[in-house]
Amino acid sequence: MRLERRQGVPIAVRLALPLIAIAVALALCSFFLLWAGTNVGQAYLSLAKGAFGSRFALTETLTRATPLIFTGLAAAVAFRAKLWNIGAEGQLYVGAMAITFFGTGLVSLPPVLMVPFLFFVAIVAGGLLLLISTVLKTWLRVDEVVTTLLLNFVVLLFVDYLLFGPWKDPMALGWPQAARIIEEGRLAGIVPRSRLHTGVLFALGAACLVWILMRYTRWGFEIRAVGHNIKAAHFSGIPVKWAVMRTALLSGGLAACAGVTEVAGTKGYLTVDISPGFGYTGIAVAMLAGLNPLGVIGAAIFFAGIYNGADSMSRAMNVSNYIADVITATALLSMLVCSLLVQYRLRRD
Amino acid sequence: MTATSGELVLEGRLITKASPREFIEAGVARIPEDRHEVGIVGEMSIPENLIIESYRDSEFQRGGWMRGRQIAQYAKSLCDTFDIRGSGEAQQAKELSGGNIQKLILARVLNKRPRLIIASQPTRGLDVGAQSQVHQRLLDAKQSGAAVFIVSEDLEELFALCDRLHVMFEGRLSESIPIEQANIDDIGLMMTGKVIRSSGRAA
Repeated sequence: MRLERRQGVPIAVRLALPLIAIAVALALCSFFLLWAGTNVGQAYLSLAKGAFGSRFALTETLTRATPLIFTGLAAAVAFRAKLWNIGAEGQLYVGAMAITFFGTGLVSLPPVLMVPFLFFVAIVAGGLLLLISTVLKTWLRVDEVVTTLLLNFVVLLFVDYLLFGPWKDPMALGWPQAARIIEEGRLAGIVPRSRLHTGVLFALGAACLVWILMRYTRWGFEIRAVGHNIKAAHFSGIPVKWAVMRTALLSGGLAACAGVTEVAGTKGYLTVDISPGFGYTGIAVAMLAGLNPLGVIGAAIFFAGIYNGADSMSRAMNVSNYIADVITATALLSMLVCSLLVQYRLRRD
Repeated sequence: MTATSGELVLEGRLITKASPREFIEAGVARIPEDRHEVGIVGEMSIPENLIIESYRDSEFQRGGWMRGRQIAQYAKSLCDTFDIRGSGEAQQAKELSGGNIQKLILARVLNKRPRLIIASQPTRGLDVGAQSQVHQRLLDAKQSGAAVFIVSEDLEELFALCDRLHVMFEGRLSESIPIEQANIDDIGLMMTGKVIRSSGRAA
């Protein structure tokens, strides 16, 4: 038996792919729910309610999806250029540190300028962090998977040091947290009595911009050519190294924006636990979206919904909320299998 | 690969250490041996592959924005002229047949009126129809004044296309043999390392 490439897969099938994968994942996970001794239908109903079933659930899901959109975009852009950025978590915290440095009183501008300024410093910081690994990869052939992954721990420990040391807010009753972002730099709430803030609009805008960039610009053309076939791109006269550097700045900058939405939006100040692994989940989001920037929006909302919904399901049905991790992991695996089966057919010889 | 000794001069321009882009701008056309690996970006569309060596031209982009309509028009006219048969402009280049991929590469480089064409195994693995189309394109380019450099193991192809032959054996190049003085048996012997005198007789 061997795999044979199918010709001309219809676009509708490609679009339906993530939905099929999610359906398969939910079907597979129902076995785990049965095993745990609960009613599958009721369990999924409470999961859906907890994810999207009320105003509160919906705003919480969107709040959680916001950083995931940014980290998902970071992974989608980098992976498109075959730059394996596993360091979105570190870039997120570097962005969070940058805005804490500039945004807690050092610089004060009117809100219309302050928020863009904070995004700017975060993007620069995150982009530079990924640039370190990318320069090492391009000129010294150091594996960027290793360097980006390990830098996550370096950055996180540095945040730890700052929050227990020089940046510790004396007003925080001993908690390891930094001073608040000044009012001008905060992302305003957009739905009353909820945590949802303008960060979600920035995230949606960023996804559209990245989509346009990849599809309609010269830089996107170069990034796609380099990612799909670096040799052919090089011999065709595309400046491969510069294209990869630009990708690194973009990807690191996008991941850092997730730090902005959490510190200047959801939380208001920097702590060591602003991200429950958004950087890593972003990789899964990008894969489920098939690396499509617009698909990242849907995938991020799905992941955020599963995590939020699993919490309320575990309360209502008394099953462990770790089922959320099982569902998202199964969705990812079934996405990979489904896309393999769509692109190839099995042939007996 | 970079040269370790000697220099490359094209029409008075020194291009020994030129980058791929400088080679293209100097008028060098590249028809690589491995069409799929270094010839095309298989996952990109046919129009994108047709402009990949000239995407910076103001015809195809302006201020960093790709000009989709111009690119599509350009691709359509090239597909007509060079008889590239695909299922549409959104089709990925890797879905084309080998012959159509080779025609795509020819269209991409020949339309730029190159001064020097370097073709490696230009018809290997192609059917007879595609072979003769490739041969005709290369002869046309020669007629219009381009220098054509062909690397091939197909002796009949070389005799059909070339004015002069060199044989490479164990890294050494033989002296130049005008096509009128060459015969296919001698060339075959030289390929196995026999030294042939310029009189054309085996030593």
